[in-house]
Amino acid sequence: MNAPALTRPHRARLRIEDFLLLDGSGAFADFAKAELIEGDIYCMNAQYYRHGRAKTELAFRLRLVLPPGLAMVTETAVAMPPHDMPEPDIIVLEAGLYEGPIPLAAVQLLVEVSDTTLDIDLGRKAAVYARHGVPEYWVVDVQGRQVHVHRDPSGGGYDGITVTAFGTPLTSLAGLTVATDDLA
Amino acid sequence: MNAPTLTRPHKARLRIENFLLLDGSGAFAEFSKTELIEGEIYVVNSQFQRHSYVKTELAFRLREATRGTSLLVLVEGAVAMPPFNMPEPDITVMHGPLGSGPILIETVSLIVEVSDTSLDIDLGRKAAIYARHGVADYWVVDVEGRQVHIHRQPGEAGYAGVSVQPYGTPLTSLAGLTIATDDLP
Repeated sequence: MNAPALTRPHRARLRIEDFLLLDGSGAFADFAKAELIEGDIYCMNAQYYRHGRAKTELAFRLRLVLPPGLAMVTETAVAMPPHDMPEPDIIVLEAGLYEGPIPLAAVQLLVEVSDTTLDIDLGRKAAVYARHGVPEYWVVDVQGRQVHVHRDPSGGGYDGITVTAFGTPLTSLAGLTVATDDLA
Repeated sequence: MNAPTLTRPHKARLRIENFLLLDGSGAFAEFSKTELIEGEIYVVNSQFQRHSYVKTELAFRLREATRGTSLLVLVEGAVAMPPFNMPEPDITVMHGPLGSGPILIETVSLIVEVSDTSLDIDLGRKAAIYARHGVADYWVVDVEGRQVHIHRQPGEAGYAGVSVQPYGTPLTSLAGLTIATDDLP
């Protein structure tokens, strides 16, 4: 895993290969979604209607405007070695046939739709995505009816963050323009 | 693992079977000691001289004291405390016969942790876990402070009976094993 000289107990972080081994054993079979975040496993079960609807509708709108060469998938694992493998709600990536989780290098845009998880999506997840260099990250705040657009990733977080109210169209760095009316 | 209704991410705790699967895959091969504590994995690499010496010497004295009994002394054996804990105490005294796999909690007579750099953990989190799992006799040997914390009467809320003996006073375990604590570095 990682081996500094340790005389005091040190909490080990799981790697993607450890997570995949556990997943293959059925360890997460009780859960609808399992993510590896900074070496810890996080599980979720229920998705409620507002979150589900906003995610599905936004994915549909992104799919309609996809240019050649790009693909859009929902809730698919993205490998961010060695200790992160989230399953973002929506992923826009370079089209291609990939084996296993989506390679980080192919990712153009990640979207998380936040109903009950806004603090996590704006906090820990934004830090993880920035550290791994995800070029663009949208957090759709269903309750606040706005979208937090994150750009310019670095080790210290996203340097460029803007908030756009529902109703204003959004254009991604990759050139996809979608309406944000009636998302929730 | 465990499936309540979760709309917010819930940190999953590893179970002993998950931990054994990872261990079998070689995930912990770089570490000298790996423990599952409250569903999290903790690793240790280096053990320094004083800790190792005191542990070895106490294990030897306990082994001498078990002559003629069915008690067995194991150093750094994994003890299964299902579902989320599998520590490797420095010394475990168990009732025989010897089985296979991790030590079963119901066979444990005494657990000893030798604390050099980890006293806070051994008196804190570890004591809470051992008490919750009903370990009847738990000794924490404070190498720096030259004393032994004896924990008895385990319960859900911790050990109800804790006493501290300075080095030099013989110790007798609940199972009747008496050892000297003189001449420890």
